[in-house]
Amino acid sequence: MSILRLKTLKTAAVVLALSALPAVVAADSYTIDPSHTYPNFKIDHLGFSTLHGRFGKTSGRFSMDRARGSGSVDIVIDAASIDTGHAKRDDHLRSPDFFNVVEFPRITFTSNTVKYVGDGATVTGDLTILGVTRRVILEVPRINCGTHPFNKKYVCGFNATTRLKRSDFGMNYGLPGIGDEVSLEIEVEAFKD
Amino acid sequence: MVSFFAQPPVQSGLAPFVASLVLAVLLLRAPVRWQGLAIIGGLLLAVLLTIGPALMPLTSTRKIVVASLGLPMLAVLLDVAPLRWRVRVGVVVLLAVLALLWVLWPVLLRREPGGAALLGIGLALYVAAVLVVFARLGCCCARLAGAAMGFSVATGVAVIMAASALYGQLAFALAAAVAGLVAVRLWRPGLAENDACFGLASAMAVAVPLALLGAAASVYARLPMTALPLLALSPLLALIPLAAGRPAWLRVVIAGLLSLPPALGAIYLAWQAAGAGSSGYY
Repeated sequence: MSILRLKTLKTAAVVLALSALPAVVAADSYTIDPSHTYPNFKIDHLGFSTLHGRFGKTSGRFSMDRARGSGSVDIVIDAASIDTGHAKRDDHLRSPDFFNVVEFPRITFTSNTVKYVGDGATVTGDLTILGVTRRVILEVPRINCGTHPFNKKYVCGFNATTRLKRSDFGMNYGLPGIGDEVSLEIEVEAFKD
Repeated sequence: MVSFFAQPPVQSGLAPFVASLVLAVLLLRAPVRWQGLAIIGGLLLAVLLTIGPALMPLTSTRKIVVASLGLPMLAVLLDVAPLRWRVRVGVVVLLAVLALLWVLWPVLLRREPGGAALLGIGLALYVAAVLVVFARLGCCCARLAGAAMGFSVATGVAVIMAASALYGQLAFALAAAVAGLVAVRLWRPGLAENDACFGLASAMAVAVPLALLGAAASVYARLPMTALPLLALSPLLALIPLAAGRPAWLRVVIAGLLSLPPALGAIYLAWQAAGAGSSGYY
């Protein structure tokens, strides 16, 4: 009886594996081009103006399968690469007051939930800052793919946007003078593997 | 545009000063050894105003806060425990060193064992040295007050140079809290003149947070390690009984002044490491 059950389980496993195979084959995977991928942010400064900044080092991969309506994203941002155009402010942003980059060197975003909408997509995933993970939704209005004019590689690019509250990640210093709400826009280009 | 309590001078100056002053008044009839509670109250208010009451995520900064409030509270109990002075001090020093390792743990785990051991031992020595010196000062209340304010300001300026305004604010809050306590207690007849013993709790209420802030700033911010021995010298010099027999206020001032020269050296090193001369920002 138990041998029969084991055979049934094995058969089911093989069927499941085979059914999953076309998805694996069909999904295109891409490696991010760090020289054209920058998470940019903007935040209110004391109610007077909006401060803009970016992270200079980003790596990661994503996959897309429009036919099956699936995809995944795995992005790692070097927190120490923050750049607002002022060295002392950047040092302060790296300190324990804000990003605490020695203790938390990486900001990550992972997603397995990609919903294609028209020419773009909505990516729902987990953003981790200061060791705190929160679900965020990245809006991608348009995904542009084609052959790169110079290196002839197949490339896809897009801009992803979202808004988040830094206090949700335990980053409370300077509130409310330095705004709580942060607008995030990530410019992404990636080459097909 | 920024609310009153969101302003750094209020968060780390006025508010902890008033909180400590009020608590010191409430503790007037309590044993002198409980005075540390006024300093703890001042620091607690500064923490609430700067980073809020949440303990999660339990970052290195929040670990420092937990240890800075918890260990002096333990010292209040130790002060009345039937233990020898050295044992009481030893317990607090040991726990403070463990707290330091807890604060540094994410960094120590990522380093090579040799480097991690060197870092941990070096900073543990700094923490232990500061705590032992302050424990000695605990029984010279005027000198404790002067050294505490001098060391708080020195640590505050140095860590702000090292890029952490929050650490600096917490250090300044301690100076303000000590000032609040001093304003009420030090001029009470008979107390300062006899150089009454403020006890372990008062000394640790200042020493634990400042030692941990300085040590952490050398890892999580940009405070150079070379600044730490100079910072440790700062309260040590206050042990010199230069103003014995003088009025209490003068002994406070002299102890504070004695702590300044090495502190200035530490601040200079922090300033150099931060890129001397480059413009700051607000």
